[in-house]
Amino acid sequence: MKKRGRGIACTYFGMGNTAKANPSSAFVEVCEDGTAIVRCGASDLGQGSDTALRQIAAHTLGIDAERVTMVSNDTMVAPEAGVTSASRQTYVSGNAVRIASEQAREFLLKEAAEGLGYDAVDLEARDGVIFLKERPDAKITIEEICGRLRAKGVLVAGAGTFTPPTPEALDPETGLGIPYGAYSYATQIAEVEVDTETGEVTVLSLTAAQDVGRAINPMAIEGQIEGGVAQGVGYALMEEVVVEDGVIVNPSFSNLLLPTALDVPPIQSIIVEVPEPTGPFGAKGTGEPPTCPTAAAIINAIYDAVGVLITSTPVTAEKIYMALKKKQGKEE
Amino acid sequence: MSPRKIRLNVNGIVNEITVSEDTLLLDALREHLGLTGAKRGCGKGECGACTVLIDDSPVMSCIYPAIKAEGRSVVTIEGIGDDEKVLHPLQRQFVEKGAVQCGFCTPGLILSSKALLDRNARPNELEIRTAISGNLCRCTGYTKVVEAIGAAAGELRGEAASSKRREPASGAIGRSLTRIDSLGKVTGKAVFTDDMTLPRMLFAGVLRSPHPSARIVSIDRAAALSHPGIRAVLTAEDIPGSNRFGIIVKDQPYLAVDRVRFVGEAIAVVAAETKELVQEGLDKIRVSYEALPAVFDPWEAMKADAPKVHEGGNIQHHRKIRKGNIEEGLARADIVIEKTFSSQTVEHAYIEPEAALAHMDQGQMVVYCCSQAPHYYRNEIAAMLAFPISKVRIIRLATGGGFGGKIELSAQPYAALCSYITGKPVKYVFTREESVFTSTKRHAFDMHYKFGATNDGRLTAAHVTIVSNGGAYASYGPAVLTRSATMAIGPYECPNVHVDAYEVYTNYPIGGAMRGFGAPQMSPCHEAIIDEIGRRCGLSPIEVRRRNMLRPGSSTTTDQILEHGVGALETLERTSERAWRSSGKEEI
Repeated sequence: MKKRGRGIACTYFGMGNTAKANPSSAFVEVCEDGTAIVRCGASDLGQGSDTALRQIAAHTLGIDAERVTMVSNDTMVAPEAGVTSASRQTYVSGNAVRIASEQAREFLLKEAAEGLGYDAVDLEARDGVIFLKERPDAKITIEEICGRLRAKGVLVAGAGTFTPPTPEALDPETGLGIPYGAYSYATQIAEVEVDTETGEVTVLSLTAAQDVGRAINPMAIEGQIEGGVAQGVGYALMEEVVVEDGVIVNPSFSNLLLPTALDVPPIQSIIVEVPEPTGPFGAKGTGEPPTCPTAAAIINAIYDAVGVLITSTPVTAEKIYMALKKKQGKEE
Repeated sequence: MSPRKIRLNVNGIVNEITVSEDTLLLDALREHLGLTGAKRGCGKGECGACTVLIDDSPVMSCIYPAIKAEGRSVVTIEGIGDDEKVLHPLQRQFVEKGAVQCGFCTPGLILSSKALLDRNARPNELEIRTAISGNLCRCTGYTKVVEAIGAAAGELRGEAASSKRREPASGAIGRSLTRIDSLGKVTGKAVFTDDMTLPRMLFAGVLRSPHPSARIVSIDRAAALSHPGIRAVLTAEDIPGSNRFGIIVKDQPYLAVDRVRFVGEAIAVVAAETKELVQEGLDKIRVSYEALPAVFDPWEAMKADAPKVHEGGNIQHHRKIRKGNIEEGLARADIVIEKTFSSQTVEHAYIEPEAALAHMDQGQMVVYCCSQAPHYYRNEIAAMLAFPISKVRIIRLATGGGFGGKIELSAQPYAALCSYITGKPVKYVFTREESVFTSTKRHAFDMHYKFGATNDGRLTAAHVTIVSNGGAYASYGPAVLTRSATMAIGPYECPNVHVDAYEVYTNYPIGGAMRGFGAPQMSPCHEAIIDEIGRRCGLSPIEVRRRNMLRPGSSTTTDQILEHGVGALETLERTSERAWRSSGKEEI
């Protein structure tokens, strides 16, 4: 018989390394045509940090993201930004880029204030122009400002560094303290079908909500949620490195099973935005939280479907089958 | 086997190349024709990264003899569209829908889907998923890939594109910009480390321990140096600087000195003119071992009489959390639930195996590689070569996934050492098996949980013990363990918390960073128990969570008071609105 069930699971996840300085730095240079180069050594492996950092720089400088070029991959060109780990690049490097961009923007605002005859604090940079907040028609293009500054011998650049506000190590005896400057939160609901004859599980759907503070790039965040959930499904049901007497016996993809397109269910992602004041524009990191609650949601859904709690991962058909047998034995 | 000339029709152009009978089509494409869009992820026809079309059907070129392709039509990603301005609809939709992340599997995915769309103009979702089920992707979860293929099918049928996302009126924040690097990835132009060559480049390989625990009695490398094409056979004594690395504790040697602690530990490195000569050199090194007692189970390893993996003892790290008074918390509980859980060892399985290409450039060591941590690599390689940090340059090329597994050093130090000694560029690319044997893993945990709660479902006490199998070296282990401890009870407030977490050295593969970093092991424990508390108290899974959840002003496991940015309840409410209310489980 096939039985369906639903399970829910929640998680929270600290941004950045635990109770330890993990700084990032960035250099921002605005060229005389109003385009910008951002140098920040945050490794982008496809998760999208280059794109998010470009957006943060562009938004701060008031120019289109297409006018920002990112250099992150060369230690002689891009300054240290720490490891791409701990869901930290948007939060930590995002702040470094924001601070560097703000520094560069100061040059632009001051020059515009002089040109327009207003105070720099009353001006805003957005969509390629600097304008008076109260009267947006009083404006000047950023390209023009950059040209003027260059002619005066002023080069527009900024440098920023940031480390999360985790001032000291956790107490070694009590473990108490401030491990992280900010947390991301996530809830997932899995719907499964369990074959009571074989113990086989099919994940029918996965709904995943995540509080990202502020979504810098919603499509990229969905990609992180979907990919993270897929790894969570693999962790829950099939992935295992089998070690016998210290030797890995399944080192090839023929026996080290990974989820294929047929194993991963449709994933509905829900982006929740509760702004984090210490994050750039309220943003927090995204990469890891989606992987954390998936197995728990699936395990709880299996319990809901057939009334057995499997306490060891991966939850194979065999484990469910044996647990169902045992339960049946007790009931009879 | 004698070389022979064959005529290969690739992307409509006939090329004459000289191959042997066992030359694989993938090597003919990559090495003879310079078409590096097809990737080697496993070398066994199991991951699909090497997919090309032969007479319109997808084929794994890494197990397909080149001579068999003669007289047939071969199409690679470069033949689909290598001009970024004139993309095939599949390429364009992969970019626009965000279906590209690391991009290593992308050419294979696009070719498999092209074969589908060429024979089925209107595939349903199951047909799409089936067509790409031989292409492993570790980044995307396939959702956006399936969406992109569906959109490309629509575009090919001449249908108008579906509506775009709503974008903010101004500014760059909140825009779903496509990734700038995805254009290179859909056209096969993105340069991954193995796609790169340098003139007079050597290849490297590492001799690894077959024993989990042994003393190295002797290493005889004389025989290995007999062939002139074998340019270097190096052991620990050839390292000019530090032979110790590790992102938290520098406890791991690049090349073993007197003993080995896990199967796969590096002992010697060979640099040679061809990959075949590298293997010949490795085969000729004679190592004599004396087996030592090994320990694989962390509970066994914690016993006083267990074989010592390291001199300082096997408990590498003990993280404690003591919040409130656990005894009082348990005494106050109406319900006490106790359960034991265990989790498995997990491989990251990024589809691009580890790779590095090193060369000396005017006194500076330059290393091209895949990486999540170029500045960490820079510092470690500088220490290994006894160079100033500023004389090492790491250039991260396109990196085919990482998920934590490309933080710790892998191929880079060996390529750098060989290049430093030989003065030549040296490339070292792992096989899939070498990657699995030697890379750090998600730690296997044993976990004991005891939660107390009142009759109205509120937590009063949480007692957690974690034992982590750390393997032979620390890598990121102590930090993973600390995060496990801080995340041990989930996003809930509990006044009395007692956690003991142990990271234990064993002769097991090395545990390290992996996406989630010790939290995925915890959540099945705290979430199963929270559900059970709900059942015992007659509360829905939603309500029992709502009662305990962290909110502004809450105190966390480490007694940090959360002031702002706490969206836990919002994620709970939004998911349950979407996926719980509609299921007939109305009571939330």
